[in-house]
Amino acid sequence: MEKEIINKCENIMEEMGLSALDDKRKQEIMDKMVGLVCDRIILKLMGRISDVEVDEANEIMTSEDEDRQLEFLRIKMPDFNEILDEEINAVKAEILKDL
Amino acid sequence: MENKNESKIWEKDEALSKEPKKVESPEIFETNDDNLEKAKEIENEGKQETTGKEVNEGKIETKEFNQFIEDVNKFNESFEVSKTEKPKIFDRFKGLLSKKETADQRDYEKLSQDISKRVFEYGKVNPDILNNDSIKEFLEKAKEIANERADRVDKKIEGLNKQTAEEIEKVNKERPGLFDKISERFNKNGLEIVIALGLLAMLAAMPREALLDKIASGDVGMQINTLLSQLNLPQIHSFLPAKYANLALIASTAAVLRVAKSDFLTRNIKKYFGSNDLKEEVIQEEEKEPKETEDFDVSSREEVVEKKDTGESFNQVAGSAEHQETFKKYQEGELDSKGNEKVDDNDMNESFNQVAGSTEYQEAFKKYQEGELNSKENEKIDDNDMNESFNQVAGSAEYQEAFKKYQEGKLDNEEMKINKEELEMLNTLKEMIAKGEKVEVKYKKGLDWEFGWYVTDIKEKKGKRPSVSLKRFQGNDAKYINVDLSKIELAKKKY
Repeated sequence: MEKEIINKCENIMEEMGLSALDDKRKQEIMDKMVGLVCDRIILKLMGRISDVEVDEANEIMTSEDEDRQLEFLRIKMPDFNEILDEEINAVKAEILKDL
Repeated sequence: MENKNESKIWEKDEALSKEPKKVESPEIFETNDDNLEKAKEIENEGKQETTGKEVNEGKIETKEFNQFIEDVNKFNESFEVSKTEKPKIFDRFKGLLSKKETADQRDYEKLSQDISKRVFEYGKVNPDILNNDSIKEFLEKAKEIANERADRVDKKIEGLNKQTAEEIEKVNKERPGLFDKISERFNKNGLEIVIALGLLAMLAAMPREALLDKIASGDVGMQINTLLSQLNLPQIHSFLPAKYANLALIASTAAVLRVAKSDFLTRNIKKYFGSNDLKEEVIQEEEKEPKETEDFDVSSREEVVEKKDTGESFNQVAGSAEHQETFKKYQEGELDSKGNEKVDDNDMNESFNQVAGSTEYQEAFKKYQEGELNSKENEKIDDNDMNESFNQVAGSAEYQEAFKKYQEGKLDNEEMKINKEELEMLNTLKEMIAKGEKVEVKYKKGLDWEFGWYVTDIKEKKGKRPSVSLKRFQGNDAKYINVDLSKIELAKKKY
């Protein structure tokens, strides 16, 4: 299983047909993908904040207390790793679809 | 036009039906001018260091080479037709050349990548190929094909961004400002970088040499920055303990850092965490980068780095006390305890899978296994220890098992035994060194043996497997590595 995933990872650049690009162009695309995945993760996080928690979330995120902010994020998204994987795979799949 | 070209292709059906033997390569080769230059550099380096048996190992059979040139010619011919007659012509060309069952433009694009890889693989051992007109033509076309595809990828991302923007707009109406605040937190706390790391794992799986090439060329991209950024963001380790706060990743990144030691890296760390002004400054500085990186020589720097202490190296490359502190915590085994009380098997699997296909990870972990990274006695870490090839670490399942033991704290208690043959070799090495003989060994790099290495020292520690320090001349410089006994054999067996 592990080997399969590693192989899959190694093949993605080719899968996307981008390995012949120059590095600058490749990085541009990667930057865009990072931004996209990031936004999608935040949207998921937003979905986990209930209406009654919105004020608290606003207050925490506006404060300068980074520990509190991280704690809030951690509580709301303990499965961050899984979400990250899901979103990366989803973005990849959507890009490759009918490309 | 169509008939003429199609018939030309079909005429050579028979020749092409003999699918050429592909040259396996773990690297992702990229088709651009920089790489052409790199290939030429490799040629020069190769001429300097290639001796004896290596020449035979690197030689490509004429028949295979000719077949390769023929394939490229076919590709070039079909490319012109493909511009007006697709996908039908792709079908035939692809069928002839790669024997794949389905045919469309994607296959053709993939084919161009396949051939690109072969071009650069051949180019390493036979650099003349890069002067071949067909090859030059092919590389241009391959780049063109990739750029066309990249434009489509761009549009796709644009479309997805549009969808996401609509959703953001929707949540902004319901909860004004909150998305932006969280987004700002993500950036400030480096979570965006962590996300980049996830992409890195998929996109930048490459051998260490290739990574160092990128660093040396100054064209590092986000990949290495992502790794480096980890060092300066201890909070990430507490937020994402199991997967991204991986200690071996930190150590391996440090290894890359210490070998590379480029100010470019430091500036790029700032790029991700500095102000907008700083970003501009970084960009401006990057424009000046070529001169600096032209002079960059990994092998010669390795010698310099060897003489520096760890703290100094860290401060030089990361410019960060936090960085040093983080690594010290790693060495003392403290870091992993934060926020990561229990790591389950899934997390471990993910760690392995996510850390960039992680040759760096594997190397660092191997060092851990050998007790070198974790040793308190080893405050002055020999950078040569980090020079062991990433490719030599095979068998990831074994690593996972070992990693599990490491997580469970069992590894240090396990006796590292050596087998009879290794013991015999060790004794022979000792005898030869004692006699003052020059001990040439071959070093197992990936699946291949590299000749021309000489033993400079044997390191033995109680309860640990012996390791051997090796030296190899590269032109006027020398490269040093420290490897496990199992990775070498005497060039001329005496036992």
